[in-house]
Amino acid sequence: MNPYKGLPEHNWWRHAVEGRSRNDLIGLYRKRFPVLRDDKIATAGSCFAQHITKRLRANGFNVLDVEPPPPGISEQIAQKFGYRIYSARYGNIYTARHLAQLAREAFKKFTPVDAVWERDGVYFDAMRPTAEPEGLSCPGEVLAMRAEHIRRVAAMLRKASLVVFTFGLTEAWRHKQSGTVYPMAPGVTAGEYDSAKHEFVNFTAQQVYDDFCDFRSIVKRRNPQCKFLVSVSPVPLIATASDQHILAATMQSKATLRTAARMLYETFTDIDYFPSYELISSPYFPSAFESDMRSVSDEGVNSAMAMFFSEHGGKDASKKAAAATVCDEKLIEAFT
Amino acid sequence: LKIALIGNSHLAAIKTGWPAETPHEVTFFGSPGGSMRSLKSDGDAIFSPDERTAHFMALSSNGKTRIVPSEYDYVFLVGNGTGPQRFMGIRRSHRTFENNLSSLPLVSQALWREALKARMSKGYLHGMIKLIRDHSDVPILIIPDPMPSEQIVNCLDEGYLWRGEIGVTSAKQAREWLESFRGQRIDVSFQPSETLAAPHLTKSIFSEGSMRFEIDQAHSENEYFHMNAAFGEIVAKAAIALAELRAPAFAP
Repeated sequence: MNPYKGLPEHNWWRHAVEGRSRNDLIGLYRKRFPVLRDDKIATAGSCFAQHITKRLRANGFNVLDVEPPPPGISEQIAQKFGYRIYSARYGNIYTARHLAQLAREAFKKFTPVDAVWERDGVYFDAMRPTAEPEGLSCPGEVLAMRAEHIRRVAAMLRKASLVVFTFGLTEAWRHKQSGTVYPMAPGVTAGEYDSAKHEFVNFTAQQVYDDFCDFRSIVKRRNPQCKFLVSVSPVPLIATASDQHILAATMQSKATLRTAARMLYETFTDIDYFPSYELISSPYFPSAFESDMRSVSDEGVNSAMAMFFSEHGGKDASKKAAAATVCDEKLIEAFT
Repeated sequence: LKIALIGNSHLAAIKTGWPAETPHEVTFFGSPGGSMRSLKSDGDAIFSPDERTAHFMALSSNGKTRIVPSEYDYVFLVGNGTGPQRFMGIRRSHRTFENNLSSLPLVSQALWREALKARMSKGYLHGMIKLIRDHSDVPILIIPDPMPSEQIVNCLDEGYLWRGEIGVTSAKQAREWLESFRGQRIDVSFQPSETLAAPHLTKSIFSEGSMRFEIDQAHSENEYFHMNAAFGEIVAKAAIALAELRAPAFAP
């Protein structure tokens, strides 16, 4: 007797992967629950989540937009100012801690500390430092805009029937005393890094899991029917603040996020996992990245979304809005 | 010169103030709001299939409902949604931080500027010029919407737009946009400086007693966008002078 005997084809690399076309990876993604056209979908996450958002919208899924841009402005300008990238204008949310923190703030359980950053006499929202590329005139304007944004995030979390979130990073910077986590290190685009005030943190799988559980329970308390679809971004880190080589840090980060995602899937029946990371990052798909070996190619995104639409229906996985993705992380390189 | 003036409600000031002593033969074709957007081609003429618009055109021109551009030596396009407020289209859906009286969604000054720019490529002036050009190479003079009365800064809901940077920027952008029409036998007669209280505001004496286009009645006191006959006379004289200056150069 051999325990592998009789296992289905998809359990065997030779049968399920080797020599298979990308449209034929049977069973890599089997939906846990259907995503319907009339679901009210809220999207958030790291850069890769933008691809998911665009493809869902282009294929007629009801992706919420609780902070629409003023009428008449182009998609490109709207995205430059953080509109239409996700369901609200929060920019990239790389860590589960930031996501949980945002939900807490939305329901008045948290107030970010050191939330206004300055650069050359103009002011930025530290929790979404690229939403206003030219900055704002005074801290009061930043706080007024943030208050309005947060009200809309609360409305979004109350009405979403599905939250789609892509885990991006385990590494983050936080305010030591308060624990406020920022999406970017202070000093990269605005603000000032102060080692007495700020610290580097690299979340463990358990912490990522706990943070998402925290987020889930905050949402479920107000919106009990809400479900969640999570994925892990295949995009490697642009830089690491750990003492590891960037490649090692990337692999550790992705393994950590993948572990947390699996733990969530196993614990909660209202959380589905979409394996875009597996499809794109494995040796099976060497052309899934551009020449920088970091940006996911159109072919990679199309294949991932074809896998999604094969389970949930959708006409064209390659259909997307014209604007490019907005990747704040690249600013670390640009400003360093 | 035989001149056709085609415009919206701002034509009323020019018509009532048109200087009697000019030797030119003039016909006014007007209809309020954006109704002249409905103009269409028919043979050698331009007409409106919209009954209400046709009615106003006939009323303003002593019975004519068809404009034949080739019959004129000059066409003046008056108003037609070319004022700075057209660049403030988002004022009804959004606000900036300076306006703390409204609950409309906030946007930054930078985004507001982008929204203004986006408005430039829209509007029906382009369409009207194209319609005329489809029929004739007649010289065209654009007479923009007047700047609003300086009293608008005291207006509760929109005053803030005109007190600060937005009003000045919008007027500047409107001017730049209109400048872009110059050439190809098209010129612009900008609002004469003696009527201006600021680059983006008209002296309030010129809005007192302005008449409504559609009925023989004055605008209400808190109407800031329409001007009176005294204003119309100054604007008309400036436009005529420019047309007389340009006419020989524009002659075939």
